[in-house]
Amino acid sequence: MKIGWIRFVWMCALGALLASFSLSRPALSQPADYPTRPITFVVGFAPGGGADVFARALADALKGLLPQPVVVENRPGAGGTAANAYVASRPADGYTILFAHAGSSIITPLITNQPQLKWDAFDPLARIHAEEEWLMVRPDAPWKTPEEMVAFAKANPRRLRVAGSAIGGIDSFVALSWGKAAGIEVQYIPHEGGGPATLTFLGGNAEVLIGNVSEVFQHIEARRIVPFAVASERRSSIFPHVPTLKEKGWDVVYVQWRSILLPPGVPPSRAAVLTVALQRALGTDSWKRFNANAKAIDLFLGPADFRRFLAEEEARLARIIDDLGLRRR
Amino acid sequence: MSFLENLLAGFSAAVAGPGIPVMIAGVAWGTIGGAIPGISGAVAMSLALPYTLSLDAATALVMLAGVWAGANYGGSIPAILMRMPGTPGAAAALFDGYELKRQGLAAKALGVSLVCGTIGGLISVVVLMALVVPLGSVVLAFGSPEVFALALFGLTLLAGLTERSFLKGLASGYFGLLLTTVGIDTLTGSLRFTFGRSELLSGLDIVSVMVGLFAVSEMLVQIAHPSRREAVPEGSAYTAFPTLAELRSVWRATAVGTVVGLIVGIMPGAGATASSFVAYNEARRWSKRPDLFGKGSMEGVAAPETANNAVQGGDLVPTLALGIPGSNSAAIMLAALILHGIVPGPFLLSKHTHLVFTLFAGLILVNLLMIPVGLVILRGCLLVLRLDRPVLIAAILAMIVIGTYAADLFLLNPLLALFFGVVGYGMRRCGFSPAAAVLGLVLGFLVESELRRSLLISYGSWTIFVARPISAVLLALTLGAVLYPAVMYLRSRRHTQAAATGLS
Repeated sequence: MKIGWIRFVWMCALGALLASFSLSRPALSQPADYPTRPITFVVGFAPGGGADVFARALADALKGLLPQPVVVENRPGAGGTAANAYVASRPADGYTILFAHAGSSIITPLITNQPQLKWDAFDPLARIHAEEEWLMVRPDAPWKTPEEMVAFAKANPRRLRVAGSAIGGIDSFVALSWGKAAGIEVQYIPHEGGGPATLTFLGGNAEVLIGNVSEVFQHIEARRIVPFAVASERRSSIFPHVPTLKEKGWDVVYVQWRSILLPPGVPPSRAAVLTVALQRALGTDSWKRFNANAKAIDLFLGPADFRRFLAEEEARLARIIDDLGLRRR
Repeated sequence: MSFLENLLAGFSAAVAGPGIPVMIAGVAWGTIGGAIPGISGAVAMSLALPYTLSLDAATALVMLAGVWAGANYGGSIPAILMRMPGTPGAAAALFDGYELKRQGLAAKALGVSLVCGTIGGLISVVVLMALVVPLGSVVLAFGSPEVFALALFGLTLLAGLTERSFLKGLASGYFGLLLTTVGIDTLTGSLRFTFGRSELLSGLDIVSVMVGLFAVSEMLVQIAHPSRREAVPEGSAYTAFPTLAELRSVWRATAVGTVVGLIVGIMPGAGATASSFVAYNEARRWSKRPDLFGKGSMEGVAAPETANNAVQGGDLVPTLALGIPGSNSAAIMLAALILHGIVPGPFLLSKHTHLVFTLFAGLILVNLLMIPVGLVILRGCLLVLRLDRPVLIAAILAMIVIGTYAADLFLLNPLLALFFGVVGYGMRRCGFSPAAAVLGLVLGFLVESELRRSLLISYGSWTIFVARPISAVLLALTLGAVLYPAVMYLRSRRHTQAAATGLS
């Protein structure tokens, strides 16, 4: 009898345990379903570059917002597209996500004629942020306004030297589109990157520097470099007194956006989990600090809007690539 | 705080906590990574970067400095032992290093490389500390025309790398220059000789080509001529540490290497590889025994190895003074700062004085640590000399394939190495110079892009090269380097003719 009573208590306890399991299951299963293991963030550039630093900052901001960590994996090569090829071959289970910017997801695939590596071979997940494109001059520049500079360039064709990154990069597109819109011919001097371009500019070998302000911000604070105009839709929060090219009547709008793509066919429920986490990551202190240091602005777009944006961006970039005759035939 | 107080605070911060073990780990990884073809200094640093994120900013910087210094040395180990440069910067050391190995003096060559590299590294850090503040903006005097002139000056080494036919040497050099035209052209964006392969967008992988031309071709020579004898080191030949007398015999080359490394390091764009070739050439010019170069001269090892370590200090001048990285390796140091929430720029030194001085102290310490760590690794590597030749050849070829594949995971790179091995073998059989081709390969990119960029800056006028003093001096030196041997040759011929007529 005594044994039977104990058994009864055990049975009750067991039953309660089972009940609690079955009751709590719907609440537990939703997040437990995905992600259950770390997510790999594939970056097509070596550690230490702008893309890598961005990816690591984002992975850091996502800490605690997803039940699993996001781990950055670098697969550099072929202008970032080596990573595109790799991610395209990964299962579409939401455990592999791909870094993308205009260069790796539009320009290089277009120039090399590799549609299988272009953005539309993937599922767009989200555009995250962007660095703006600035035209900068030295403090002793003879021009007070962009109009004066254009007047000089009109009177002296190919005399205005503009330093920026390689032909085929966003810097060069800004310079050439601006030249076209303003009806001037500039002497564009391409470099292997923003750093060497800045050295050419600071050494007095070019009148204008095109690029981001993150690398040269302290030079701007020291008044050795002066931001002159910005190629954004509206004035930047970083230097609100600097005019946009657009308000001067030249429709030149480019930003260096950074984003995330997924291998095609990831279940929408999983993409939604990621989108929500990414959106929340942009509100974290660690991300805000990173963005402030990088002089970048949040430009979040969810999957549908981002897809529309990419289609427009590709059409626009394809036109200028063809103008330059860069496409491989 | 005074300079000395800052430096002392830097030393105590560098050795605090996990400082010393982290530095040793950094140097050891750098040395091993540098010894693997495909993992250059910048790649070794970028592979280590994620592991430094959990450290504080100063310790992370010091660890990366260790990887950097270690990789500069590590590259010379396979260069000397196997004629296989582990990093592009070590290629110049194999001309004499591998000859010394064949004479049974591998351990000595490795020891000289280690000690002279350390000396170069240490002096460059001291110069960096003394000059970076007052002279930081001197970097801006070096623009595209100056870098072009330097690269051209480096190409005069072509004359020294050709043994029999000067014309064949020149042709080999041009072959190397042509190889650098592969890839996306930065100045026009057009694709050149990429054959629709995206692996070729950034050009032929320099290390793969180099390893093919030097190491794979050497393996083929050894397979084809198994009878060729080599001196087998025994007993005392395994002691690596150079004696004082030996160090005294290479002091001239070490001094030349340090000066060249510093200057080339400060120049934007030109890095460890260019510096080691220029230093090799200059050391021969200044040497008392130039005839030994190429036949196993210790000076021929000391000069390039000193230079590629001395580049470190020069590279950091624009990095710390202007916030603009002087090389890929320096760029990774800046990335480590950014990842730790520190914005690099011209005010780094004034805003983060303590951090910068910890880096200075760390650079001195890692260069000192290089000697014990390097000696340990070197002793292990010397075991290679005891392997049977067939085993060694198989092992080296396997290492080449794995190393060149591992860097980018492109199947193309090991294939390139093997292909250029056959090309290199053919060149050697026909009297062409693979070394001259490598010289063209490492300087070709600079020569072409800086020339074209200079002409963009000058609106197409060639006078830019003589109107700017630094480039004018470098070009004058180049002209002298080309003409002097010719003049000497003519004079000596007249001399012998006069002597002949005198006798008759």
